[in-house]
Amino acid sequence: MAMEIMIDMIIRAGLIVATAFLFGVVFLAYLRMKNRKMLFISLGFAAFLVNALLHIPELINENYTRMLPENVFLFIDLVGLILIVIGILKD
Amino acid sequence: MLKEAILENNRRREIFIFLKANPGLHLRELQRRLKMPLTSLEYHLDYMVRKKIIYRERDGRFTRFYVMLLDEEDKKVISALRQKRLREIVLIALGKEGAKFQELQGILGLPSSTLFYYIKYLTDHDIIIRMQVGAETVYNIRNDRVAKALIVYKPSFLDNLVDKALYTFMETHFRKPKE
Repeated sequence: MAMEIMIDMIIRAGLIVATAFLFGVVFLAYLRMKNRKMLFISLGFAAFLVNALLHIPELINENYTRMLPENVFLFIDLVGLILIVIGILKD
Repeated sequence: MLKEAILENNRRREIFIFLKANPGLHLRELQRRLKMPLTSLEYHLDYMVRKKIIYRERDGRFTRFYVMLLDEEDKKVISALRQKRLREIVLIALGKEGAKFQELQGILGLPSSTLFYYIKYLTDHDIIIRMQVGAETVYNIRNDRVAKALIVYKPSFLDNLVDKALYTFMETHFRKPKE
């Protein structure tokens, strides 16, 4: 059981680091260029980062999963993907 | 054309870095240490003196070279030119003394909307200016600080990452450009 929690924590921490890194790079690109295309894309990556952060409390509090259903996470992912697609298609 | 400009800029950067580490060297000593042809070295030194990147001082029968210190304005220009594509646009405009939009697009192979973004960024940051020559618009370098920034600038790991992100998202177009 302890091993499972450990693996869970490592995976979640990895997920946060990876999404934070991606968001950081894309947001920096937006800050340097300041255009709407990069703004949409960085907002999309920000949504992914929020999703990754929202998974953290689950490890500490079991009731948390009941408060935030799986659909909320899927919805955040969907919003992130839509924003990235809008950014990519924007000229 | 771009490759040549990049190569020349790299040579100037090499001279600049060497002079920064060894201030006050004279021409022959520089030539010996850098192992560069004398005419080429003289040409690059002259260019850098004209652009106020380095300065020379007479010392008896020697002319010694020193690098100029960076001021706040220089730092602003360097910070605005951290992205590779922006530096490439500036290098072309610097070499041609006025580049047309189509020329830039042809050399860099960028979609017009992306090139437009980059040019807007450069004009907003007072790096290049838009000039009307007859019916055509040409882009010219605003001041000599730009040449200095190109030589002094050293890309960081973060700059390379941002370059890659910009390349991926700004230069990949899935839709056909509007005619």
